[in-house]
Amino acid sequence: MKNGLILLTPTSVDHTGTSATISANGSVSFTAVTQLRLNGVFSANYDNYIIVQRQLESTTNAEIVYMRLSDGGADNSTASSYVSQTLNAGSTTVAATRNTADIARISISDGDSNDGFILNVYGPYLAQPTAWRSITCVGDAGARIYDYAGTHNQSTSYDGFNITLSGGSISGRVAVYGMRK
Amino acid sequence: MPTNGLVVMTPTSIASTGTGNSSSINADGSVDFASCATLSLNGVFTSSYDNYMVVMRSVASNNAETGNIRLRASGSDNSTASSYTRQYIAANGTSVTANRTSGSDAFIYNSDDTQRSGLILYLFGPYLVQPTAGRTTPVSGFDNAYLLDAAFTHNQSTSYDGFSLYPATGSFSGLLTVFGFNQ
Repeated sequence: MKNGLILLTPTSVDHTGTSATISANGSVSFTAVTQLRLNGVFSANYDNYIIVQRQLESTTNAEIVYMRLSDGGADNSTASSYVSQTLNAGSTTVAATRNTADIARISISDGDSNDGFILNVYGPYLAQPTAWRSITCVGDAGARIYDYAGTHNQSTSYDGFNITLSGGSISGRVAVYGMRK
Repeated sequence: MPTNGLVVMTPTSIASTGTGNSSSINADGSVDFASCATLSLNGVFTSSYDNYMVVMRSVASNNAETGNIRLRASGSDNSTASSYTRQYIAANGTSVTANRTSGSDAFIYNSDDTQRSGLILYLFGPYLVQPTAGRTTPVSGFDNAYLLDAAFTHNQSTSYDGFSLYPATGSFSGLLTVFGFNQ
């Protein structure tokens, strides 16, 4: 019997902020970071991945959590290569928007409460366009849904990703899991 | 040796209420339950893991029954007034609705008395002495297929080792398993 979901250990991490540490099993705990890159988590062993993150924002502002795919520690920031479709529910209002940019939107962080997201990433290591989908719990106003579907149109193989914010900093933990194929 | 990503969390104990109810912990750590007005799991959250996934299939005794959660420590539910805030978005036929409410528990899924319902519940940091966040992606058998996604937070900075699930009225039956995301 094989395990279907494998916890992956980054070959390295780099960050801007107070700290980012790889645990013995592979997750990364971070404190007051404004940027966090995990290198060497995507490989030929797996096509698809699940990224699980909990975070606490330093401010009570609702800040956008961005992602760029990276290879060898270098982000891909090709203009208009990331498209993010958002579905947002706050109180009785449901809204949607699509954003095309040199960076992807994957969640919102807010200091009103712990936040968390589950991000499924499809084929980042393949030299093909990459797709992902996130579901989130955002502490803004107590609870808000900000879900995203995204694509990146570059046919490039990536071994990692870089998370940044529109403002503030976050503390928490992120772990990357490979789905055995 | 690859590190297993999901670990089954076997409850240290469970409790249930309701007329004619039954509940039991299986050898694989899953929990069978029948005719439960409430089902409580103890000792499933530990310091070993920050984040968890709960997978449940169920059938309710009533049609279109709402399902609620409370977090639990040392065998007692936390029912602090207004400490749970829940945002939902629902799709039923061509209708899309949303709402946010705060209370002493969180309404996080629907179930039904004819069709099977399913629930995936993600919990972020319930064992940490910090506010807890949660997110669900259920399917309800109501009207044969009803989509209600919910996000919730609980604002108490308390460490919880378990949770209770219960329909607003009536009872529910099924099976659930708690997984820890290895870290």
